[in-house]
Amino acid sequence: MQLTGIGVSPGIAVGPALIVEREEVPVVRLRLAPDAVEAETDRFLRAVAASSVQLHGIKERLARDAGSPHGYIFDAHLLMLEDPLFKDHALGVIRDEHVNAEWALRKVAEELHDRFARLADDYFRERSTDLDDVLGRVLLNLRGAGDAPSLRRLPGSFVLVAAGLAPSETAELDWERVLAVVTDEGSATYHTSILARSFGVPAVVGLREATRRIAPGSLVVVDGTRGQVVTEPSAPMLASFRAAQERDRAEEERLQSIQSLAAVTRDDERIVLRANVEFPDDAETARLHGAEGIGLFRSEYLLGRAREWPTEERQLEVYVQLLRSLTPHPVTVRTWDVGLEDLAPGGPTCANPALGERALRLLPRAPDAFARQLRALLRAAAQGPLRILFPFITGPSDLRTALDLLADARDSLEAQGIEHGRVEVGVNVEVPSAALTADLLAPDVDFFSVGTNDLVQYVLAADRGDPRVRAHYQPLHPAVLRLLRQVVIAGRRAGVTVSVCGEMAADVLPALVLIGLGVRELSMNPAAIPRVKAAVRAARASELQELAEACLDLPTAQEIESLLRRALADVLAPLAAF
Amino acid sequence: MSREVVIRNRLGMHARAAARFVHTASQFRSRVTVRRLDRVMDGKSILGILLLAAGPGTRLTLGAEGDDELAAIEALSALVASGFGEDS
Repeated sequence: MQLTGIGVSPGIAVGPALIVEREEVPVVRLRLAPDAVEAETDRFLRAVAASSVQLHGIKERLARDAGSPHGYIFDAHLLMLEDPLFKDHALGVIRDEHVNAEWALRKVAEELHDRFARLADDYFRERSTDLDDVLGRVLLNLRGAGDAPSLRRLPGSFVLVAAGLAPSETAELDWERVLAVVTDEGSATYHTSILARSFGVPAVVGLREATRRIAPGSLVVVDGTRGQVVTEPSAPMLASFRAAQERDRAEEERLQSIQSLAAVTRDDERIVLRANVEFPDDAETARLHGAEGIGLFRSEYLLGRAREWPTEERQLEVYVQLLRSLTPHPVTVRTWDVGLEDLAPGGPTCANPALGERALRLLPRAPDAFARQLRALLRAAAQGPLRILFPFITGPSDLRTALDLLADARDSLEAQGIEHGRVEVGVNVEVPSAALTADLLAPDVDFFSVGTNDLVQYVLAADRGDPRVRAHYQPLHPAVLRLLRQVVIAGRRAGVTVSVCGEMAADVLPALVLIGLGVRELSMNPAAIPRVKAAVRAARASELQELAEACLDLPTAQEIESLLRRALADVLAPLAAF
Repeated sequence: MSREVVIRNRLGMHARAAARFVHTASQFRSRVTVRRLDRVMDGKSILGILLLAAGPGTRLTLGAEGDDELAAIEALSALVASGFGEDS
């Protein structure tokens, strides 16, 4: 049987299942005699005091085993235990309504849950799970049950299968004997995931019915990298998991060996390697692959399946999330790069959408959509280094429109007293007219980001998506290299950074030519970073510059490519491992 | 007395930051309040602080009443301004 969930802690583990059952005990409501109220409040306070002692113990143990950063949650739990909204309120209920402590606890818990449930922010709303954890402990102590000993001292090594694990349960776990954790509930922000990662234990959450469908003691394979859980695997299946386990380990070592190294050529030229990101979740992948920020976030993800313009608040949340994931590196967000046909499903079409009413050309139809995006970006910029990239700019006139919009957005935030930050502004150089006017654009921007996929298509009039003309799509065509050279020179004269995003940056050969042409920032899909970095570290910028100049004199893409292969054989050979 | 502050750290008044705030507030005898728009919470209540859901950029008004109110306000606004010692 195979179950699919969300992998939140990578790795593969195999072992027998241990199902964690949590009993639901009905809470009774008693009417107390007036002279029994004082004893009941004492009983409540004793349970709170016992909970406090246990939480201090857990906190210390966790600080010892997992390092201090994870202990903070129990500071919060200890404060909740003494919180007037909980403790004083519950005591008040016992005294005023003459009810037993369990009932008072239940009543206070429900009221607090209601208040948390009304919060719009996921993080703060999810704090009610911390509250549950604390109140559940007090309830156990009221019953004299104390801690559940089974999780602290497991009778062997197991794959833990649970509906959900409260933070204190995860903290108390006998981690050395936990092979993997799988839960029915859970999301990636859940404490279980954070702790599992810090202990290097594979975890899959959100399996919905794992506790019901996995038999106790059955053999379970947990693939935390791919979010897969398989019970009673066949021999070949088990072998393929073992092979995957081995590959993951090799992959991990390879990534780690290069992730922390700087992208520096042998003659000390620093190259900045960034990631192209489509979805916010890719940001973590980008970081793991050693990206120094996001060179291109395609904001169209925010249109969602409904293909509708998102609200300012929703955008702010995503932009800030990206900034947090990559901190302290910059995040570059490309503004809406869509055509009408991308928006309303079944909407207007035209013969040639790539040359049609797209990106800022849609402004007259959707002024609010652009204003909202720029406001969200400026607000997010208060939280970290954010760069705005305007796509499909054809020259200074388009750029003025974009900069005016940005100034309007800033003015509206100022007028409303809403916090916002400084942004760097860039032009996505993808239309040949923008490349040809780069010197006119440069004084008004902080950076150029050359989108080579589109630039090559437009320069060579070849659709790279059409297999019949694919051979005419040639990133190493002399016209492309000469145009790129022109953009680099215009940028250098004005002190404007030139980066390249697109397939050219991700392929080793063209990437090295770009460096030879003077490009010092490349942005690519995260998986390509280690390979490009290895190439950068094996090359010399001075030699690449000579090579690029020689390429500029050659008449065809084929001749340029064979020159590069000959000249760079030494650099390319060791890359086979990547 | 009261003072307006803006949450500057990237994670907002999340669990750890809220815990620090309450620890600090509890060192003073004064009654401490935290107001966001029309909601006022006890500054010594972590649940109250979390219920304010104060993400980054949120404006809050800190209030203190008592014989050490000035010291309380100074300490708490410095804590908030420092981003709870997290980011900077």
